[in-house]
Amino acid sequence: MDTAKYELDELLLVGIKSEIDSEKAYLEVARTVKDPFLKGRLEFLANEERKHRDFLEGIFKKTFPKKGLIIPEKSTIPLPEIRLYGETGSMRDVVAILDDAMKAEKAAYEFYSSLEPRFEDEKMRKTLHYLAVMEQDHYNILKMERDSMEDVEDIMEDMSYMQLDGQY
Amino acid sequence: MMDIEKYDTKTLLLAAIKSEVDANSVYSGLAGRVQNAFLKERLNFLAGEEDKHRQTLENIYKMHFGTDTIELPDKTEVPLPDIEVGDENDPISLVLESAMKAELAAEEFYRDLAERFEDERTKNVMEVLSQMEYTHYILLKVEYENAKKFEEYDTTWPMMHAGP
Repeated sequence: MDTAKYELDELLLVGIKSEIDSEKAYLEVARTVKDPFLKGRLEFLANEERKHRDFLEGIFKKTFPKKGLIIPEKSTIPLPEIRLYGETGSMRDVVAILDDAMKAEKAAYEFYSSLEPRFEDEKMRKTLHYLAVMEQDHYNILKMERDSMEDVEDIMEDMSYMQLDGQY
Repeated sequence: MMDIEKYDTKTLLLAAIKSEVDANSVYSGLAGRVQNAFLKERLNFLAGEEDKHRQTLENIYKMHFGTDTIELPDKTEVPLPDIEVGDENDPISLVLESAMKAELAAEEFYRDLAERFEDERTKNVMEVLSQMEYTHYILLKVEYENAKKFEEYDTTWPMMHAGP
C-alpha cells in the first residue's frame, strides 16, 4: 500500500475510521451467528480493533495536540470495506463477509506497516509493527474460520456438540 | 511426535478435558498478572476458548460413553505438555514460549484423536479443535516475539494500556 502521498494526520484519521468500521462489522455479524466459537472470535476481533482505535487516537492526540480529532465520514484513502448487506437489504452470506474481512485485515497489515517509517521514535515503530502483525493474526483467524465453514458449519451449530454454558 | 496409540479413547478424552481445564486456569491467571492491554485481552480470549473446548469435549464424552458423570484424573499418563508458569519474577516470554509448545502439542493431539472416531461429525469437530489450537499458537507467537522485543514493555510503555 502506497501511503506516501498522504499527510500523517489524514492517515491516522482514516486508520481510526477503519478500526471503528471493523469493530462495528464484527459485532454485528457476531450477533447473527450461532456457532459459539465463531461468535467468540468475532467479539475478540472487535475488542482488538477497539484497542487499536484507542491506540491510534492516542498517537493522533500526542502528535497533533492542536488539531481536532474529527473522523471523516468517508475514507479518503482506498481501503477495502467489510460489506455486510446485499442489494436486497438482507445480510450477506457469512462466508462472503469473512472474505471481505480478510481483505480488510490484509490491508490493515499493509497500512500499519506503511505507517512505521513515518515515526522516528523506536518504540513507536516497534508498536506499529506489533499492531501490523496483530492484523495478520486476525487474517489467519478469519481464514481458519472461512476455510472450515464450508465443511463444518452445520456441525459447529449442532447443539449436541455445542451445548455450552449460557455465558457463550 | 506424540504417540497416543497405546491409550484407549476414554483415557485420551479425559486427558484432553483435564488439559483444557488446566490451560484455562493458566491463561486466566496470567491475564490477571499482565498490564499490557492487548496481551490481557488475548489471554482472556484463550482462556475462554479453552473453556469452550472443555465443554465440547465433555459433550463428546457423554455422547460416546453414555454417561453424564465425568471424573477427571488428578494426573494422566498421556504426555500432553503442561504450561510452565514459573514464578512471578520470570519474564513473560518464558511462559509464552511454554504455552506455544503446549498449543502445538494440542494441535497434533486432536488431529491424532480425530482418527479414533468413525463418525464424520466427531472427527470433524476434533479437526476443528486442532486448527483452533494452531491459531492459539500463532496468537501467542506474536506476543512472545513482542515480549522479547520490549523486554520491559509490560511496565514502561503506557500507550499499551489502551482500551477499557
